[in-house]
Amino acid sequence: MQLRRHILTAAMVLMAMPLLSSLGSSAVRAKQDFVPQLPTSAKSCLLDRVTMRYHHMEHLRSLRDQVVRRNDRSALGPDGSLGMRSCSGCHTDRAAFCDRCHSQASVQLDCFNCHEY
Amino acid sequence: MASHESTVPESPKPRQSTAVRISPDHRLLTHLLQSGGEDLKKCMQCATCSAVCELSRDEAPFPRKEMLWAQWGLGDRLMSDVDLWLCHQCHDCTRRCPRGARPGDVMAALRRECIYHHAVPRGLARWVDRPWSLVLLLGGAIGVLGAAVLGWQAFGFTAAELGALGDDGGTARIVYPFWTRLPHGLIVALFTLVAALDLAILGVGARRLWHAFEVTRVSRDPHGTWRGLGSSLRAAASRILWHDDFASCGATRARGVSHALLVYGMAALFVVDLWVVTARYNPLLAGLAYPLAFLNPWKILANLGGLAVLMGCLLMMTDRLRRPGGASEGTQSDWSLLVLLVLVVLTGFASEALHFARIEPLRWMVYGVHLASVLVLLVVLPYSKLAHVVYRAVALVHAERSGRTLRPESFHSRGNAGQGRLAGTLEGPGLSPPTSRSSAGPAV
Repeated sequence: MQLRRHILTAAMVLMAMPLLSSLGSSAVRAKQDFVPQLPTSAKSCLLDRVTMRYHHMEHLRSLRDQVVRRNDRSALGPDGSLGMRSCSGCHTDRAAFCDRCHSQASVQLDCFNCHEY
Repeated sequence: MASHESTVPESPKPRQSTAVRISPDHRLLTHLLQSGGEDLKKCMQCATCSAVCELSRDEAPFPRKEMLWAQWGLGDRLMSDVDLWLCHQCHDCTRRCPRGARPGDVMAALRRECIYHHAVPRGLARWVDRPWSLVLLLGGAIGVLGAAVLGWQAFGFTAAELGALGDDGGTARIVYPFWTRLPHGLIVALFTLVAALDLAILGVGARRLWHAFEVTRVSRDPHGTWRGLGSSLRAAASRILWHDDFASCGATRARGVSHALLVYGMAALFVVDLWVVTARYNPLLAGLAYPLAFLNPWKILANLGGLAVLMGCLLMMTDRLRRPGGASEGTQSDWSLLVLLVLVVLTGFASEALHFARIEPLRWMVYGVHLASVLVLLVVLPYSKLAHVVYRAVALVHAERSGRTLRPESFHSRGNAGQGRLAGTLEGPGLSPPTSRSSAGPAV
């Protein structure tokens, strides 16, 4: 009897926890912290904004497959500047540009196991 | 309300008793005997069921009278019977029934018929219960979802949502959709529409049921129309939240566990859904609102809720296969709802896993099936067993007000407080509460 009530109370408390924690932390997490650092020098990116925002992973993966697995460097441009390097050319701070969002969303980045940024 | 009973016109000669002509509701009987009430006719009215029931009061017993009414096909009485909804299908009656008439299953089948009876539109409710309806509905839901996606894209809403976030000051939030083809705006619009329809249908059903209770009620409401409604609501909510009634069950105690898992799991999932789907409009949120990290409190709650629902469903399924207390293996509408719930949870977990593993395009396909099955769940909700969330709540509140839910042990221990207030309301044989609700402690 008492055990049942204790367990159900625990369930109700558990259900209230996320809301309480969200109320507590919302003030700290400002939106600007998560907007990718935008350069002032360049006007446009490699691809349009929506594609870069939602599909940069697919783009980077297809580049990797093309270059590493098929030895086709044509997509990197004549001077090879359109690869990973082109990101850091404008977005200089990796912590602000890559790490913050990915760690927030539990995404492990393995780009930098090989690449320098 | 059309009555199936009509009193024979009074003859000039005095009669010893009034004759009542009964015209049975054949449709109801057919449905009962087909599904859930197969052994109904074995009942010999010995009243063992009412005697052993832990939930019925001595002064207002069930389910013997429901068995009789069902045998006679008295549809009107059954469809407006509060006691139908006070039964929690413990199967104490089924286990002790000397004839194997399975009153617990008959009561469940009657509740199903009651849901259909009060649902709008009634024909749709019956159609949803057919064996292949869920499959057709799932196909239809996938089609509707696909059409909605294309329409949303054609109107430019998808591009607007995907492109809008980012560089407009500090007020907005960043919300990544799980799948860019199914943006949050579309999901909010579509599911809010269906949920609003559900609420409207259930609201009409609840109103019809309440009026049916009122028409057939023997005892007068001791509190008047509105007085004491708050305390009745609180008492009913407390019974539901603490699962008090299940705890009284003798034959099948596990029912309480699986039911609590399902209730609290689904409540948790509902809360998380509300939070995530409305993330774009939530003033409490700032920064990266979605996706959630694996250890985000909302994500943890969602995963725990999903696990609870899955465990609850599996327990219910094994219960139907093991048949404790001599209950039946469950009706077809029972099973299709359980299968649908399991499908929702499994596709949800599968899309989560595929998402983390980044397996494409399988993760999008599974996510599409997940959303479609949730849509089907919302469509069938007011016609399925899930409608009892509203109907049983209505009945519990009504029963609190007419004093039918007070159990003997709590009633005896309550003393004389409030006795005078109700002294004038004892009209029917034992249908009025001997004490007022205000003196009723929590029924434990």
